[in-house]
Amino acid sequence: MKSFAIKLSLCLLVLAALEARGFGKKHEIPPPEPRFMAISRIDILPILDLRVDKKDKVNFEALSKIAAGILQKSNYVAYPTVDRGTVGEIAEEDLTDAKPEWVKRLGPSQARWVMVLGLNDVHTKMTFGSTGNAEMIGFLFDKRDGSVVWKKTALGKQGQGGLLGMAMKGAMVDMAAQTAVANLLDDIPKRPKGYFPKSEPDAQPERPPVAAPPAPPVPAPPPQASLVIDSVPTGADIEVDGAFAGSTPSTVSVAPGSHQIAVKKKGFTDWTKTLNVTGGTIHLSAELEQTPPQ
Amino acid sequence: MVIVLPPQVVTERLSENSSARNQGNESFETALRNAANAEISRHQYSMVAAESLQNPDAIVWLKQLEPLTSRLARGAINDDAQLILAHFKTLPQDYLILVQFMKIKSAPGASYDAWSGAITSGMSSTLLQAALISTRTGQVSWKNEVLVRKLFPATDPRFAKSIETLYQTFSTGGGNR
Repeated sequence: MKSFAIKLSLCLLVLAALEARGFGKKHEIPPPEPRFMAISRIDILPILDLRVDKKDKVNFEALSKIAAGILQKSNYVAYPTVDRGTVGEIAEEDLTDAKPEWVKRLGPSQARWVMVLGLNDVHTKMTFGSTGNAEMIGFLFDKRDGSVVWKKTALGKQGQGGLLGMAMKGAMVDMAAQTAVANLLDDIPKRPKGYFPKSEPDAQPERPPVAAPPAPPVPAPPPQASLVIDSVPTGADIEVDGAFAGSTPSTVSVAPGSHQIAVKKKGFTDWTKTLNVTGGTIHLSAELEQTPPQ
Repeated sequence: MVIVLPPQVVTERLSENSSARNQGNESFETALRNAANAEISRHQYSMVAAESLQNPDAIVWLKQLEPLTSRLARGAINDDAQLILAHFKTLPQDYLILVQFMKIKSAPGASYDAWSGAITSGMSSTLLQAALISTRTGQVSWKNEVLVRKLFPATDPRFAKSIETLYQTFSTGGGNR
């Protein structure tokens, strides 16, 4: 009887220990933090070249597009923009010691979430083949309160052995930088497919108390319209509400409402139109007129 | 007359997905301070200790410049620095301020990728930056930087060589000795 009681106690102890460690419970994937769920659109500033050693040429435009693509895959509306705002030249210290007042002057005036990515270093080396290394930093700011939503530093490495690697040395810089961008953005929480914040960001509450149960994301249908924009000649910059949204020909998604569309190309007069979009697909073709020689 | 701001040494440890930053390293700070003293003497300029300045406000202004060391050492004088430097114009004498910054970055070392056959190199590096700022003009009168893709201990002769390279072009650009 005594040994049975001991065995029973031991069993209960083991069960209690397992329960404490979460055994037998369903594995639940936590939803992204509310601050990431509130984001309606991310404006990605032109990538900063923070390198000391600038001898290698880097395709910064491609890196911006890759960053936008990664964020879009995680179900964020994200576009590269050329508007840096009124902050002037941006140094690494501006980002690491960012003051709210400085953040509020960053990027397009109407933007709220602004992402700044910087290339700190990149270099290639010939070994038994070739290798490329890159270091990038990234910040996501919320201009409403001037806070940092996310920040990270990441490395990117690429290597290829043998003669093929030696022949690829020139491409290693961009490949390493692209890997660094992918590593940098890999911890931005993925949102449910088709997710779009229910209301305007200003209506979003501040961070809920820690004890509050996480509100399940409501997969509302994205209130989006498509603008198919082309131009003659092609390859012009498209700006939607002052923010760069791609090059012609492109399809751009916008929320219903009034939007200012501009198509700009060097040597041609800017083409602008104000549209009141309700939904569906709208085709726009801009015939650009050459600027008269001065 | 040259005032040497305390050198700033930052150590950054990088991994694929994160970084950790520490400030301060006495042995490197001493090495930089000694190199600066030697260079100033070689150019027959006199060095002034911040504490020995007659005007107590000037000591405060120099303290205000210290957090801006990493910018100033690469010759970037931002609005904050300009405001502080403007105060020095009220002093009866002009000074040159020498600013030194060092960043030691340690990253994962070289590795072998059996799939591609590549040997990838590491990302470790040592960056040395220095600039000389004139209180008369509020402008940079000399600056230089050296990036070495290696990590050296402060006592390593190769580190001494890097400092030597940093100061190879040192020039005070004339002015009050």
